[in-house]
Amino acid sequence: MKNKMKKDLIFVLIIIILASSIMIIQKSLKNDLEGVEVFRDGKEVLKTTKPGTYAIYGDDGDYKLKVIFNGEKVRVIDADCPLKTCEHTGWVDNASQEIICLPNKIVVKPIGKEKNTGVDIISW
Amino acid sequence: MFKKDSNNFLKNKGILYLIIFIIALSMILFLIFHKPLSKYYQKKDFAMGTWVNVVVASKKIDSEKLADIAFDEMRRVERKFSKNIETSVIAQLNKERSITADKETLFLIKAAINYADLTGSAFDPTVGAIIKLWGFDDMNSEKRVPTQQEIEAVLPGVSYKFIKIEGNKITLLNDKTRVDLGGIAKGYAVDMAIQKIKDLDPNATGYIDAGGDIGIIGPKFGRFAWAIGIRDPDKGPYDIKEIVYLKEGAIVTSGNYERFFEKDGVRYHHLIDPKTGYPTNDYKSITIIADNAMKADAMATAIFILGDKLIGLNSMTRYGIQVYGITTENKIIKTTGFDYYLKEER
Repeated sequence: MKNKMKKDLIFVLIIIILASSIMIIQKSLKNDLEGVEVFRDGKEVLKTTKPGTYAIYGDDGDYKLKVIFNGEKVRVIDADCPLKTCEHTGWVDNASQEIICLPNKIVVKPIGKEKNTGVDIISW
Repeated sequence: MFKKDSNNFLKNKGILYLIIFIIALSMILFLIFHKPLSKYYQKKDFAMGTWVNVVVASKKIDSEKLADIAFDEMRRVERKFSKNIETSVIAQLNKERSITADKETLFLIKAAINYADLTGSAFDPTVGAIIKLWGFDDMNSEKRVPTQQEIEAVLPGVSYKFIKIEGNKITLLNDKTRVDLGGIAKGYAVDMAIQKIKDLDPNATGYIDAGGDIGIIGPKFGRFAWAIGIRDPDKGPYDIKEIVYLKEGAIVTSGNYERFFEKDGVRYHHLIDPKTGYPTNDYKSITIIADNAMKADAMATAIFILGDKLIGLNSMTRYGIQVYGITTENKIIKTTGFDYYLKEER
């Protein structure tokens, strides 16, 4: 009987370990971005899962900005606009955090899971 | 009885194990795939020179339709009141110097004059000419530090007192005066868009976020407060300093990080004092909670510009606003009523 109890206990323990390890793996996966999408005037102009630096151009071939995806985070550099608000945004590592370039109507959207930031909206 | 039968006992034990396994498996699957059900429809797009996010839910009307209506309304307000759109009422006023206005234009101009009066001209709808000198009038304009002579040349035309209203006639009394409702129109557009949604479904919930000018349509899921982060001025746009909980009303922040450029190591931002023609630097940001976004918009700009000159912060609550500010020395100032909004359970 004692032996059976022990076996039951081991069984329950295995289940708990299995469940918690899946949760931990899932949580750690949440930190990773899979890629980046770029929209200009509502149209998708880039979608990639390959880390790298990508230049974005306008319809007329004019250079606009560069998007960096390093495999974990996304940022914008070398923007041609006067205020460079998109550059000041810095690195983002959450799919809910877009980088916006207002003058060029460009939206840089990380692809991946949306992490809970604890807030619904940001007043800035 | 089956209990005495060892085969049966084992069989039952097997079933028990199977049940435990199925429960455990379903719990694991639940943890992996569970996502809270969201009934909110979200539409993001460029409008009013900023990035606008409309989040709305309605049991009566298609939420997608409501979001479209909100965007249409905000774009209507922009077309009518943006000084940069040639056919707008404001462009017409600046060009013709005297116009016969409709009720809405009269309301908005009177509201702007009222906020200018309340704040001793810290918020002023005639500051446009100075803003233009700095290049903050349009996102594509070249940003530069104007000379003292250039500022002095336009300052005499900067005062809301040069806007004269007689009946439905608006006249600009000084040749140099240029009206710019930029500091109030975005908040007004948010209020109007919410009003349009409410006209169609008074029980609709959600919010409109127009580049940080936030108006609440209704509580989250009809019951809870929306958690709104106040941006940390020293970090990125997604880093927050404090969380405010709102079920209704509006919240607007004016910050020195929104639109700025650096020249010779000095940061120049877009919040310019109509009296001096230069940006003020007492605060890094000012956040206002009010019952509507127009008021919050105007007062955030005004209190930022007033800076140290504002004596008795708590007296501001008589205008129906709560204030939270971060000074350049990283000191937090707030009205006593603001604490109420920092608690989640109310």
